[in-house]
Amino acid sequence: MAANDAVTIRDLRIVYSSGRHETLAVDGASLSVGEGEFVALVGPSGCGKSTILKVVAGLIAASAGTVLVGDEPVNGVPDGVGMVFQNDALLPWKSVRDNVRLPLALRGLASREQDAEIARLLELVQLTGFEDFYPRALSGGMRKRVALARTLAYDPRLFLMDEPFGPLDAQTRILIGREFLAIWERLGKSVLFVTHDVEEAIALADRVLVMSPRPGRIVAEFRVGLPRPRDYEEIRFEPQFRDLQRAIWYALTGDAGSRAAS
Amino acid sequence: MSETKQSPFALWLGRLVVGVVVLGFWELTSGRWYNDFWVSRPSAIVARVGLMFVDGDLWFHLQATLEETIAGLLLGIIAGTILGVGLASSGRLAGWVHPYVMAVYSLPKVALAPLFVVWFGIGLPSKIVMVTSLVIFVAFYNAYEGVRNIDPDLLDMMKTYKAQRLPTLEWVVLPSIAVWFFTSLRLGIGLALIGSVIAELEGSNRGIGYYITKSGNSLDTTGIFAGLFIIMLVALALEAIVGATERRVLRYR
Repeated sequence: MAANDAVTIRDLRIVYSSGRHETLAVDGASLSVGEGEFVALVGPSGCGKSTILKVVAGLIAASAGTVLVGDEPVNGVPDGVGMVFQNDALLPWKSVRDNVRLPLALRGLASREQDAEIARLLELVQLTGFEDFYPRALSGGMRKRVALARTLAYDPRLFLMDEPFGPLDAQTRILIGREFLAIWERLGKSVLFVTHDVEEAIALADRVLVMSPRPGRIVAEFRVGLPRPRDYEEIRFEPQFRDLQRAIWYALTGDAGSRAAS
Repeated sequence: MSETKQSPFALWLGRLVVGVVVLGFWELTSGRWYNDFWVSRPSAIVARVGLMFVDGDLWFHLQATLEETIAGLLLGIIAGTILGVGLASSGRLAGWVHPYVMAVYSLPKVALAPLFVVWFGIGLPSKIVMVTSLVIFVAFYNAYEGVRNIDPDLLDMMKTYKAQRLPTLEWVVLPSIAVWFFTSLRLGIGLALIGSVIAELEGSNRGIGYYITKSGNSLDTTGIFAGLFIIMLVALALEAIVGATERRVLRYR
């Protein structure tokens, strides 16, 4: 692991305590995300993959192990880290415009610059014309785009994405996935992307890490050698994609070794 | 629970019919089937209110009651909301203080009226304090629960943007508890009117509560009903104001 990786996690252990009950969520997970690299973390539900994201975001404290963002140990919320939540976490009482404005206003940008930036970002996520809508009036896919625009407004060096396309229907999922891939391939920021969708992980990521059931740790790693820019849909028919899909599937179900592809 | 769908016209027509039937029954039976001394009659009550309007009694009493009600309501709502938000975001302190708040809440506040008179005299201040003591708990409770019910993802989201306390209050906490705030305002209207009328019964020389007591002392049931009718109108007017404000503020829903 290079010293200047975007994220470095070594021997991470996370214990949840609720009341007297203690749950070992993650035990001995190690991973890294290189600068500008897109890493997907897949695993069965409840394996602690979202918990790892929250630790990197500084929302939950690690019980043991090392977590670095850049060269800095995570202690509180680190600088330059943007999170996209599974349920969007949009402010229902703010219009699309003002939801995207939030990180800009927090940064103390002059209001004219805020407006210009909002217009640029909403065009990027193809939501021009919906500035005055409230989140409630938007479809799931549109809300997702607002959440993306808001995170882009924060301009983080590292994106943490917690099953961001999870609640969407299959078609919208592909649409948003394709748009997001196109935006990301232009920006080239580091991403740690949590999902349970193996196809999504392969189509987006440079590397796919597979987690075990709880207590979670990394049990397999696959490098996705598919060339970029990728066609989010067409790429699924590449033989290499199919091979990866099969291998990752076996790693997930614990039938490792029988058909290694990596 | 579920109301059958109907046009607004049918709805209001139905409401009008119910009102006319009930009041008409009262009007027609009073003095025929029973002595109107006990329950008066709608026409006499309306006439009394009209008389009060003409001779200035209405505004004289209404002004006092409105002052107590609105001042006490606003004071109680604001103080209760600040205390509720403060305690709910205070972490450990909340656990220490909460049972005592609930203990004081369980007191019948009406029984505090004599105490307030001893402390603040029989003038306006003691009555405002009476109203405030009723309203403040509702506002406190709603604000407290409101803060505890804020979507934790929104708070996490604000944290990832490194938002400080004040922006978090502005962007997330206050809008989140707005729904609860309007609930306390609605409940508060009724309580505030109870508070001011009770305080006026306790000792005063002005106000609708005083007018009701005075009428009662002279066995003037029409006067009592006139007072009740005026209170009802005040409650409806305040409800309408709060309702209109609520629809404006919560239009995102």
